[in-house]
Amino acid sequence: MYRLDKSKANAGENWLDNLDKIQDSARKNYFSVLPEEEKLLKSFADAFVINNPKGRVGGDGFWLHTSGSNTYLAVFTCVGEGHLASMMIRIYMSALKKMIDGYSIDFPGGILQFLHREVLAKFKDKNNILLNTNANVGIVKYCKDDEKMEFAGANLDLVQVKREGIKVIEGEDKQVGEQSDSRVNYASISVGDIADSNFYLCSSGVFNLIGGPEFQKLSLKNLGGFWRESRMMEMKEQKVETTKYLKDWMGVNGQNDDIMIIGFKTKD
Amino acid sequence: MDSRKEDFEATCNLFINSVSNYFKHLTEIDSSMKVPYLKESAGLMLKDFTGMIGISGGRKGFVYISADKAMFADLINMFIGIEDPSSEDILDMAGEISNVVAGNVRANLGANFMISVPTVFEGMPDELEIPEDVSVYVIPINWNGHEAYVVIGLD
Repeated sequence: MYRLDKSKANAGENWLDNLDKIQDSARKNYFSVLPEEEKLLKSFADAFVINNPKGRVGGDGFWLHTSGSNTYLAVFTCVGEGHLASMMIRIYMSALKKMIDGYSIDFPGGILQFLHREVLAKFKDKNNILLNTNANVGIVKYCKDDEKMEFAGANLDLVQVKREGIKVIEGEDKQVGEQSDSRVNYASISVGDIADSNFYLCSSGVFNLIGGPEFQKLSLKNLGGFWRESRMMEMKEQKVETTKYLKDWMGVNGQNDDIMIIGFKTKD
Repeated sequence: MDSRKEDFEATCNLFINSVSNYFKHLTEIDSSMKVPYLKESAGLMLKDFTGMIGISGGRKGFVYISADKAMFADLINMFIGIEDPSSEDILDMAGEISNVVAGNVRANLGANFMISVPTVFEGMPDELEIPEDVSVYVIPINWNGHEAYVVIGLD
């Protein structure tokens, strides 16, 4: 039991503002489990992270791992939002750590399959739980030495923006952790023309944002078109402009879902 | 009864009902309320983990839900099936219950009140300051063998 003594009970008229000064420990935990943007910048020629949970914490996460000349980047959106989804982030991060520590799986489709089996095993026979344990996940493997990239997605796509246009490298239409009678496979797809491209991984919430001139969900066509126009900008500038674009899109409607976008490129 | 007292009681009841409904509907285990009391002296009673919500608008104040680790651990086991939760999980569970309660109350409060997103913390943060002239109403709640406090303070 903790007790606030009288000597501290002297907050004056603006005492309510003091509530905002208290660090929210759950929020601190949520951000501390995710890699820092600087780490992403060391792995790619240029990159940015936008991570704006709707509340103090969110259900979007990302994971970064480097092994030799290979970099693995995963973005995941845990179903649901808020604190319960934030707990799931730690479960997914922990499963990925387990894979790195104990298994030598090095292709994106295999990592997704591993995650899928881990989540199913963790929640096996726990039929009465209230939480949805599924997640949309996209994983990129980039090899610096031979300039090759592979992608695998579970209900999450990789967006490639080039001068010529926008290409969507589609993930499988199956979430990780989804109960299914059939065996689940996630294909690793080879990505071409990577040197002249910018890449983006977006959490599902980005395309749930309501707004625009016709009060509708943000589409990949809209956002991709914006990225194509701004493709020559440095990533840090793109981060600022993308944040502004999303804010303008939402307008007075406000943010209705968690937002995570990771932009990166392999060549300056 | 003056209107401020009526307001205060109505606000307290909203939070009490919201907490009670949370346990009843999500855990299917009823909670019981012990005799609430008005805490006249300065000071707050906090258990190990707390989710605190600020109230602003017509009247300023706070509401918090505070309980020990064991209660949040029981909820996590029920909701997610994790039997040995970490401190991070406990804090998230404290945030979750506070968020749901705050959301329900927000939907039922009049336009004169605004309530904040909950702030979650462990123990007693140094920054926590409450003035002496705030009326603090303590509602002890018992759920599944655990005692929790719902505490409401309004100026």
